[in-house]
Amino acid sequence: MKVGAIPTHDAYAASWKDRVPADRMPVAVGGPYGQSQPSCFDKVKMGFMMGFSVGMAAGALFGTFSCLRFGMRGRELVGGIGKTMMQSGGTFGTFMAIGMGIRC
Amino acid sequence: MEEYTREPCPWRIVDDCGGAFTMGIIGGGIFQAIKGFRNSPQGVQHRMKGSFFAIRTRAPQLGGSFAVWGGLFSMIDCSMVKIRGKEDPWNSITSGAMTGAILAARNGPVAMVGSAAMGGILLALIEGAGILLTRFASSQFVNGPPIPEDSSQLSTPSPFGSYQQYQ
Repeated sequence: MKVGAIPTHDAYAASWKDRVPADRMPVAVGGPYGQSQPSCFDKVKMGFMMGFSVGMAAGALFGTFSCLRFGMRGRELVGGIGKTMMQSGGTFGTFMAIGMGIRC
Repeated sequence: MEEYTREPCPWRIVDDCGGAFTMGIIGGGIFQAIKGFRNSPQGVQHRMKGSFFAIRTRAPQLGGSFAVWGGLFSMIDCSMVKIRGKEDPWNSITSGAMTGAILAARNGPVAMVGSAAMGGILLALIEGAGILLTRFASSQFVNGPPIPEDSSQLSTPSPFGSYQQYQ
């Protein structure tokens, strides 16, 4: 009985592996089919938060370069980077929220 | 980007292209409305007119460039899925960098490198945020933890000795 069960399980696992990439397996199993489906507003909010954090990180990177190139130093540089971070965070967050909103 | 289940590959291009166009139109509409409102001469009439004019001229441009970016990105992504035979964050990062490079191709090699770096870093940030988010979400939800436990329980006591290699 058990000997007969092994190949079918292996075949199932192999076919499953083919369809789902290894690093996203738990997500593909647990994520979309969970009992708690997030609402549309939750998705938009989460998209905004994600976009905001990504935008902050990107703004910190690119803002540093552009502010240094612009010739800012010291306290002015910190302020310039902060402003760029907030700006790009807001822009990214808005676009990400829209991107989430149009898909639900 | 992991929150929705993505389309299978050839159709993903159309899906991403259209999604990016819509996103650009709506987002561009919002931002250009504010910008046009502020840049117009005084008077509500003028400001409204300037706002609508800005939306009408600029939002489709932004939507178009978003659509080009999304379509090209998705095409390269699908090609890499086909070539490499797997689907992981490196696909997205590489295709973001290649999209940036290709779209800046007419501005010379220096601009290509800069644009590629920007695209790659941006996509790496987005993918990293997605991975962090799914990890956080799967540790937070009630139905998250049983899955690794379940698989380990399956593999350790088990007749299925070969299950582990599929992990």
